[in-house]
Amino acid sequence: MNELYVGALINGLLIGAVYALIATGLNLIFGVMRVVNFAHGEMVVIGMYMGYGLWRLTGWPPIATIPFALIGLFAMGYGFQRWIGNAFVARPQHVQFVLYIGLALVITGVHAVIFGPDPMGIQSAASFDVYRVAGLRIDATRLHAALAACVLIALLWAWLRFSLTGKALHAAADNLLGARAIGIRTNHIFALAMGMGAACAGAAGALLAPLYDTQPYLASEFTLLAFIIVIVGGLASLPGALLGGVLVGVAEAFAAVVIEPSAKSLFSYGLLIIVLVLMPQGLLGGRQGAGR
Amino acid sequence: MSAILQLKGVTRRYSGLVAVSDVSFDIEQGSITALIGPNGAGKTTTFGMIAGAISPSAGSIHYEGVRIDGVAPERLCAMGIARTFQIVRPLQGMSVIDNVMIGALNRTSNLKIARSNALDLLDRVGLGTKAFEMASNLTLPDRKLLETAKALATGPKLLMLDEVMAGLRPAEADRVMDVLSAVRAEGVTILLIEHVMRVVMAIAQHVIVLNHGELIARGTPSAIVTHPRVIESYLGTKAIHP
Amino acid sequence: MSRQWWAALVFVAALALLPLGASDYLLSALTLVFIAALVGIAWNLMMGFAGQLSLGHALYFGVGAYTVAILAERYGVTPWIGMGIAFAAGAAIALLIGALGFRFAVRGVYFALLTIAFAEFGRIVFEHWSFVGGTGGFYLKALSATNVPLISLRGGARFNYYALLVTLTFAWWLSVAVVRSAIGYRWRAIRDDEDAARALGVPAFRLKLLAVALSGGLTAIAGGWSGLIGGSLFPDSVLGMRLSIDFIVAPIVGGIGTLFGPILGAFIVVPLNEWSRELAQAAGINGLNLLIYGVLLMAVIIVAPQGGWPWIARRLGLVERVPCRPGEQARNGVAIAASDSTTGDTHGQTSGRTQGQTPSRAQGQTSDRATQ
Repeated sequence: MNELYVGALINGLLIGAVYALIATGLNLIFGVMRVVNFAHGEMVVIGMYMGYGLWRLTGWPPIATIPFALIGLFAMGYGFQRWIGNAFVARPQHVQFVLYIGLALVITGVHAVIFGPDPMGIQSAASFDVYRVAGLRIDATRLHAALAACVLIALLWAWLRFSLTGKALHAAADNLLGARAIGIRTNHIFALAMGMGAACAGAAGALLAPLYDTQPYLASEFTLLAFIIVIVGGLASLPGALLGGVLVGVAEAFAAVVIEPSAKSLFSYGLLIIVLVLMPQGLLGGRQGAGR
Repeated sequence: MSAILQLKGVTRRYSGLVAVSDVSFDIEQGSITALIGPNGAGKTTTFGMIAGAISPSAGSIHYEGVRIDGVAPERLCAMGIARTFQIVRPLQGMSVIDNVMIGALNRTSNLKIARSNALDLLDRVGLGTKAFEMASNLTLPDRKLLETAKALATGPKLLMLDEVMAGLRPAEADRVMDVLSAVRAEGVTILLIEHVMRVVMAIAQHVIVLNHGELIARGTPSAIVTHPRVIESYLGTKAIHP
Repeated sequence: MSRQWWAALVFVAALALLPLGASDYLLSALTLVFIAALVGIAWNLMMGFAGQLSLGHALYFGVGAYTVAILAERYGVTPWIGMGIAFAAGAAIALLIGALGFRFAVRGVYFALLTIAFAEFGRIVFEHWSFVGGTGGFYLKALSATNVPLISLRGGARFNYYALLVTLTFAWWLSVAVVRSAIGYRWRAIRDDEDAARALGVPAFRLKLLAVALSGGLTAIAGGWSGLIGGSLFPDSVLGMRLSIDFIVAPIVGGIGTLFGPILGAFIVVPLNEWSRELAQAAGINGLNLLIYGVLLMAVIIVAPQGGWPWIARRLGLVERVPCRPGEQARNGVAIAASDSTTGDTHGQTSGRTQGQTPSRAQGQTSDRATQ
């Protein structure tokens, strides 16, 4: 019994790291533009299909898709934002929502048209690999996914902190007017933020491909999951995304053990409602309000 | 002469920074009082605390003998305290007259009465010809006038104006001053934050000076302009000790 | 009577006469449009006028649907009463969410996400609640031969059509009455700038609660009708996220903050949705409908971000010009006046927001810092 909970905790922590990568992308987009990306889960699913596709074609593990997912989704996110999305940054929120919901429907539609509605799973011998540490069995695929997610998050943080472009992104997030005044090209910066955010989602998708059966309609679940995480952690807060991702991962893992797997999101929604009511800015939010 | 508003030891801290420190003063019923001080002196924070937008960290505020610190702004407005915002906040999606009607609805729930009150007030502040424009289309000086009209429309007993003259042309400022004098003659008490000293000297009976969140002087306008600490705070120490 | 009222009257009369020459298929399709319009009106009261963005209206819809259906099926309560109870239930849940959100100053995006969270929470609860049938669904018995539609509120396509037309007309009239009252004025003040509105004596908390309660209640009634017409209820189809999204699309496409927008939007969006679904089915390609619907949605919002109604109203000359005082000429489109600013002010609102966005955001940040 005890082992069951420890196992759930470890699984939750590992999957939480991947969730954190998804949420980091959403937060980056929101932080810079104050735009909620309703197509985020759909972008995750693109990454999943890339992972699945690569495995089908070459037999490589989906983790090897990461470079393709990063580049492909960055290009897509950048292009979409640059040519279509940027005109919406200054518009009221509900108008933005409709645009990104439209994008989400298009992506899901394309997936369904190409791959069909049936779930596609990756069956390989590697999915049964486990590490044994101190009497515990740790799923190798999950561990690798979590490690890769952590590395990507660390790289992103470092890039945001130390590169000049990363600093420009920060500046735009903190003070848009000021950023414009010192000559930061906000059009480029917005597109860059969307591109990076999409790349995070895509990479996370590639990591999730061996863990979930890929299916077009999975997307809205991931979108909602990402919303929960960023609100629990705090919108626009990068450490918040990490904390939120891990918390939600663990909460879901425990819910699956305590109640039943299909009710696992009940815990995360409950967590979300409690956090929103007690700390509307999220656990690590509070840097600035989302405004209206 | 009784005090309509009393501040006792009012303090507001922001995570270590003290914006307003231990400020106490009374405002006399029916007077015009000016709150002056250099930028960052804590004037607008003080305003916000009186109007209920900000809660004081310490101290108490009494209005007509009732303690009001921490009371919600809409309750205070119903009790007769009206304020304008330094950074003007027109209701952008509504016409000018609708903006003023929102204030007028504080006194009556009858739309017709509210509308005619609003039109009268717009005429009074000189915005009558623009009553049916969208508030978002007004120029900044007109927005300042609109702020004043909105606050007046609520039918206040204590009217608090935050730099409503800034940016107005002299003729417009004179017009607003006339309105304020007339309003005062109707028994309304006025507290204003003002940088335009010409205005302060012309209409205020009392002046309160804040600097770095502290009250450093109070008195009549003529006494204040010669007050050494006031000159020091505005011009620096060297002005007095060359 | 103004031109707007005449237009509304002609419109309703035309719809009332339509069944004389229309097929049951068309009537059923229009009934779906009416349901979407009804929810759109309800959602628009909350978002377009009071400025509170809800992305979880499926919750009220689903609760209304289950309430009416279960009361009728299990307890034999006539839907006449069931509708009233559904309204109360929808309003009560909306009040709960609103009170939690508003009391703790959950605003803007956060409030919208709170509504999603509650809606999804509700869906999952219904899926695991055996009393309401869980994921297996809840079914109404087939209509008996002795069924009297006016008692059971269940009938054929024509009955449903008229029932929804009457409900919709009533809801529209209610929304007009409320929006044009002092409440409507104060709602719009809250929408534009809540803090400034409160400083002008607007009791924002109470009025926002009123808006969400009215909106939730009306949506529950729409849900109640939908359950009676469809006969079967599944958590995913009456409480799902997709439904919440469909609900908000119609009024946004039609033009939020306008009285006709939600109706127009329903007439655009529902047929689009149905048409793309049928096309996908005919072509035998799963997901094609989503693709088409998504592309059209993006196209509409890119071309007319303020929605269709303001655009049409200007061209039809339905924007009311209220007589100004002597010597004044109201400028068309901008100077809509006061007795009915509801159609016109959307132009101003949107342009105002667009222009004012950056400064107000900067301002928002400063004031947020100041209140920490």
